[in-house]
Amino acid sequence: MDNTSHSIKKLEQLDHCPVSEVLSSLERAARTPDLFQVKLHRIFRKENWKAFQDIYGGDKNPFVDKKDHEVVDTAWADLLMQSAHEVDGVIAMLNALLQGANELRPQLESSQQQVIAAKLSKGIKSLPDEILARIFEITVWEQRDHREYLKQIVRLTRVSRRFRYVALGTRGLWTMLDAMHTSAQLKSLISRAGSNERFHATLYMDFENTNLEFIEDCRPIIPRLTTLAFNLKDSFWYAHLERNGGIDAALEEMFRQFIEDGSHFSILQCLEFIGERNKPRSGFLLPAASTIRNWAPSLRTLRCRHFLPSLFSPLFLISTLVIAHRVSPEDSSTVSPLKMLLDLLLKLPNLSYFELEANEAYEKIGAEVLLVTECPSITTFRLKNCDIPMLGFPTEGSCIAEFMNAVRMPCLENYSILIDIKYRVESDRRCIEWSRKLDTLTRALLPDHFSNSTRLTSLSYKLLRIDHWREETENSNSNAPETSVNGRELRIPLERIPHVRTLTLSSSIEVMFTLDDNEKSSMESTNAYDCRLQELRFVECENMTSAHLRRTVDSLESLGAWKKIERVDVQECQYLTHEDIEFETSFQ
Amino acid sequence: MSTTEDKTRKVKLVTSDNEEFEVDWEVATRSVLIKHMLEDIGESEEQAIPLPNVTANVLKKVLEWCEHHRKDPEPAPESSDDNRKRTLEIGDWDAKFIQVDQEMLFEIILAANYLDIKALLDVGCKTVANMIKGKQPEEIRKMFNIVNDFTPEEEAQIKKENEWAEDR
Repeated sequence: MDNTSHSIKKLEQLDHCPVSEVLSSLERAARTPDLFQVKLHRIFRKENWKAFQDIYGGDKNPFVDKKDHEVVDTAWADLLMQSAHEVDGVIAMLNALLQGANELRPQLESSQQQVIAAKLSKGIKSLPDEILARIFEITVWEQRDHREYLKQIVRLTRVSRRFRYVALGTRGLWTMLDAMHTSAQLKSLISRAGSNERFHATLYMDFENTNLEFIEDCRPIIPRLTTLAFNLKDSFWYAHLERNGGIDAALEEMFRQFIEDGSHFSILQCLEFIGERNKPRSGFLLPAASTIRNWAPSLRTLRCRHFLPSLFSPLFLISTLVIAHRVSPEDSSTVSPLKMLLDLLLKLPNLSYFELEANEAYEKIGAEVLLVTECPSITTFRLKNCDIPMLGFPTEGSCIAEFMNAVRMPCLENYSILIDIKYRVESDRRCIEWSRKLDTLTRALLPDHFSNSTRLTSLSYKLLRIDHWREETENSNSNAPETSVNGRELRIPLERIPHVRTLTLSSSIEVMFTLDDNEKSSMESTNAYDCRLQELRFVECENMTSAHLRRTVDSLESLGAWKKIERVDVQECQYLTHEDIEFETSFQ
Repeated sequence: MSTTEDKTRKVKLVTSDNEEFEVDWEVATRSVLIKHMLEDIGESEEQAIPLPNVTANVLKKVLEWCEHHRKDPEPAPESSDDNRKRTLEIGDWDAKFIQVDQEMLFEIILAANYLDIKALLDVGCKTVANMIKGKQPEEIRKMFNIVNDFTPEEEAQIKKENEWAEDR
């Protein structure tokens, strides 16, 4: 018999011996669900091996309990040798298995990568051109810096032929014009945007000459501008401008230039002023309303970030006003920004949408008196109060309280409040005071005169950033709501919102409904407060448990307002199950 | 405008792999396509809406989004100004929702496009835009397994063509 046929014979024998079963047993075991959760080193520890039992010879001492002629118990010695042989066999098999597994692994990984690559490739390839174009637009329009904007477009055109084809064909990509672009860049952008696309332009008040060149380069497309932004961000240039007549003079000059040139912004919809958050400016005068009307007849939106303009006379064109501004007075010698804001509101008689991000709204207004200002056309008001240090919120005389007391919106239909509370770690015992301050703020945002707003049917109240506080004091049990938050509560004064039908609440702390003493005493005869609340929506109340919900419902019930509720909707409240909601809100 | 009757109504949807989903009218009609199809078939509640371009696993995910956003107001018609305001910011819930592998991400985008759900399409597009933003062409190719099909001559030509963008 030669060596080859001997090996084949051996292999045939192995097919029927347990060795061939080792691999299939291992493969079967490897398919066990959650195998990686199993503590393998415990199962395979040496004490569980049969060979381990043989090491010491069992109960007998093999060196003493032996036959006379033997040095050591022969049976034990044979067993020991057999065990050593077994362990060698196991090591040989494991080594061979490990080698096989190690060779197999990169091959499998390579195949897996091919599958992933094929899927990825199909993914982006599968998108139609118009969606890819939409993605490109979002990517590019996000770039605020004029250099980055151009770089981003160019990068897209260099990825592949298809990317290039789509980028060049997407006219909207090339429409963001900036006075900092060179003349050549502007010409290229305008040319690539084609003959029908609408443009968006940014001017810089601090670079007078650049703006003039820009206007010259853009003259043919001025009638196609839909947004015009004035960027006033660089403080250094404020000083320069102040020496040359200030922002008012620069803006006046700019608008005069437009008018003298006969520039007609026929489809301009939005005028934007972008100042600096750390150095907000207010009080510069926009051109006369009649001039603006001739100059930009389609103007509808005024956006002002940290730069608050004034008007000579009413501007009927504007229906949307978006303001982000520090509302506290800089010092006693300057006019309060709130006074200017009220004056601006007064001069926008057709304003229907008003959005205000009020910074430093918790500061005291001082000696300034705000006059009652009627805004009869506003139907939607979105108010954001940033970084409120709750315990420091004044009981009376805060800027926001005075503003809300002065501004009257009798036709308001939708009111949205967002409070961004300044992060601060507080001890539990101060929670009562904290809640009292929040109550003061809530009442300031829902002043007395709101109870006369008969059209106010929808109110949204969102309290942000409590969760920062929660993270800081997180205990080991992350599955339970933070207990310390339980000490705080948001109180909704029902008497301030008697006409609201739908109330949406997003709060990390408990919500309770309250009624002032006068209203309570007047409801004694009927035992129920007369309000219109029909629908309650709890959205992202991340700490709300069924017990919290029960207490909220109880607070409404005690005021006799629960029986009118027709619908309770709960979304993204992780500690509430559907059963909880049905049980806690079950209608009687 | 939806009526109270509509809100209690159920809608049957059948996917390309023949799986049937029964969902609330309010949820299903986040899709403009489904809304129009329902208007076409009228009151016939039993009739299932076939969705031959969407598989069950993708529709399940899309319906999860629709369920969460069932109360959202109808999106306003887009104006040029609104388009430009579209930033890369995605709401917290949507950001968690869209944390899926790339294969599913593109399937969701395609389904949102087919079903005409603008807000969901926007979430998908913003996610891809976030992946692209600030990346070099080579990084974009690697991320999406895109073959560079330019010849060296073409690459040189494109580089030359784009010199205008490098000024300043």
